[in-house]
Order: sequence, then structure tokens, then C-alpha cells
Amino acid sequence: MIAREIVDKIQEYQRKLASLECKEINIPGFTIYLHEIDTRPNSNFAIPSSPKIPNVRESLELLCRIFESNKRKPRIEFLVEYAKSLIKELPLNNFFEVMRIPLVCCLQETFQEVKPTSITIKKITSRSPLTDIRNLLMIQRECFGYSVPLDRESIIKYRESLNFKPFLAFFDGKPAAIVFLGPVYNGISEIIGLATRPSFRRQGIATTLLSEVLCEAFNEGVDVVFAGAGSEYSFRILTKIGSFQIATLVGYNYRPKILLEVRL
Amino acid sequence: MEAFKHECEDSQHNKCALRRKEVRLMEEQIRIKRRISGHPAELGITKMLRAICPDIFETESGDFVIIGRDVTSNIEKELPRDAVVSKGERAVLIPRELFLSAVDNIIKGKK
Repeated sequence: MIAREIVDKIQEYQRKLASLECKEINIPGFTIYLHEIDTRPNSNFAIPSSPKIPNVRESLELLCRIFESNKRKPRIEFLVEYAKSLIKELPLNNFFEVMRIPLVCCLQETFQEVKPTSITIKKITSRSPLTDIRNLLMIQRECFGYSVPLDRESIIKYRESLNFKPFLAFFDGKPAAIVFLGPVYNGISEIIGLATRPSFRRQGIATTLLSEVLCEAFNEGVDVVFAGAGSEYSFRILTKIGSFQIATLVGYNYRPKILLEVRL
Repeated sequence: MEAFKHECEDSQHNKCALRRKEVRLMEEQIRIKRRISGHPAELGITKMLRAICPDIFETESGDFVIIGRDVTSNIEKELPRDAVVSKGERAVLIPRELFLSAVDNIIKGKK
């Protein structure tokens, strides 16, 4: 599979994923995804419909109007390698980069199994005990700084709403690391939320967990698994098991010129 | 004369050791007190569970630690004549939204 093909597949996957959670609005050049409840910019964004967009300015003006009429802040997310020309055009239209995440991917043929660390892995499902869900959320909170609230009602609600499959790793019987595998679409899936509790790091736990999860995904017929390598830590682990850098995910927020002038 | 030379060398050695110790102490003294900006994912800047930077923290000493994209090589020609990125320093770019959230938090006295 050539790089361009993988990039197109990942971009298509992101459209599919967004459509599972958001209302879709098609306009010339872009598809807008608006979340029903969550108003934060990272939950409401547009993805370019093709690598080259004719009449970018007009499309962006319409895009801004739709976001604003829905009380959302205009935002665009895409892979740099998918729509390179947009990188130059967006700042000319008052869209500025706020997010840049390198994406790595692993193919069946590049995957390398690692010498395993002795861990137990639990697959979390909508029928898993609440203690496992709580452990998962506690690790998420410890490593990412946020999670859904930890009261019983919120935990039950979270368990029922899982789009991504979580995996929980235990080391010496203690919950130590987590990772999520995304839904499979067109032979592709995404890894997110890889985290090891600080006191369990540097023992190969995350690498073993990731290796097991990828092994299972490939056995189930997935061709490509990609992930955001948001830190040196995750980049190192992902490349250790045969992932390589394939693309860069960027996010652009709209800043009206008048706002910039007033604030300056 | 030989003894004096040794004394000087010892003194120089001690000075270097002292300097190294000072530098180490300075490094050791950096303690994060709190996040002064909003959480980047909660602010909607980065994707949930995919990245947790950029960020701004306040240290125990009242200074700030900034995590951002290294743009040193992009910015060198843009800097005014009286500004320089010294050896051991990097120029980092952070989103306006993140910086303004930190400013808001400071002004409102929330943090």
C-alpha cells in the first residue's frame, strides 16, 4: 500500500468517525460536523471534501456562517498530506493553526511483536464490571488530566456509550495501563488514549499492551492501524512495534480580523 | 610555585564544581505549582485522548513554563534586531486561545 493511499484512507476514516458522533452538513469544498451537545471546537469541525478546493474563500465564508448560526466556533481539521494547498490558503482567510499531531501507522507487514512483559489484559465491553470501568477512568484522569465524572451513574452511562474498545492492562494484579481501539472501517482502525500510570512506566507495559491489541486487530482482518503520536513517549512505543510516520493532523481555528485588531 | 599552581587549579576546579552544582540546583528548583492556562483538550485546542499539549504552567517561584511547538528555525529572520534566541533557548509557538485563557485566569484571579 502506498503512502498516498494510506493518507486517503485515514482521512476517509476521520470523516466516518466524525459522522458517528455529529450531524453532517455538506457545503462546496467541505463537510461540516456539528456535535449536538458538546460545543467545544475539537468536537465541531469541518473536513475538506477533496485535496483541492475551488473558490476557497467563498467556501470558507459559507462555512463560518454555518458554524456561527449553530453557535459554534469555525474550525477545520485535516491531514496536511491530504490537502497541502490549504496550509497556505487558510491563514489568508483568518484561519490559524492551533493543533499539530504527527500520525503514525502500522501495517500487517511492518508490525513487529515485542518481547512481552508479564501483564494481564482485560477487554472492556458494555458488560464489564463497574470496577474495571472505574479503573480505566482513573488511569485516564491520572495521565490525561480529565475523564468523565467518577460517580456510579456517570460510569454506567460511559460504559453504555463506548465507541472505541478499551483495553486495561494489569501488572502484578494492579491496573497499570490503558489503550483504546477504534471501530474498524474499510480495513482501518485507530489507536487512541495510550497511557501508563507514572509509577508503572519504563517496564514495557504499554509496549506489550499495544503489541497485543495490534496483534488482535490484524488477526481480525484490519490492514492499517494508525495513531496520533502526541508525545515522544507514545512515538517511541509506537515505532518500537513497527509503526512509521505517515501524516500530520492539523486543526485550524477561525480568528476574525476585527478581533485581532481590537486585541492588538 | 608548584604548590601555588595546584592551589589555583584546585580553586578553578572548585569554582567549576560550584557552578555545576548551582546549575543543577537551578534545574532542580523548578517545581510546577499549577496549570495556568485551561486544559488544552478542555479548551478544545487538541483532540481528546490524542494529545495533551501545548500547555502553560506556573512554577513555585512564580515563573512560567511553556510547552509549545519549536519554531526557532522558522522565526529567526522575523525577530527584531534586539531579540535573540540564545544557546540553550528555543522559541515556541502556542495557540492564541491558550495564552488568552492563561491571561484571563490571571486577571480574574481564578488561578
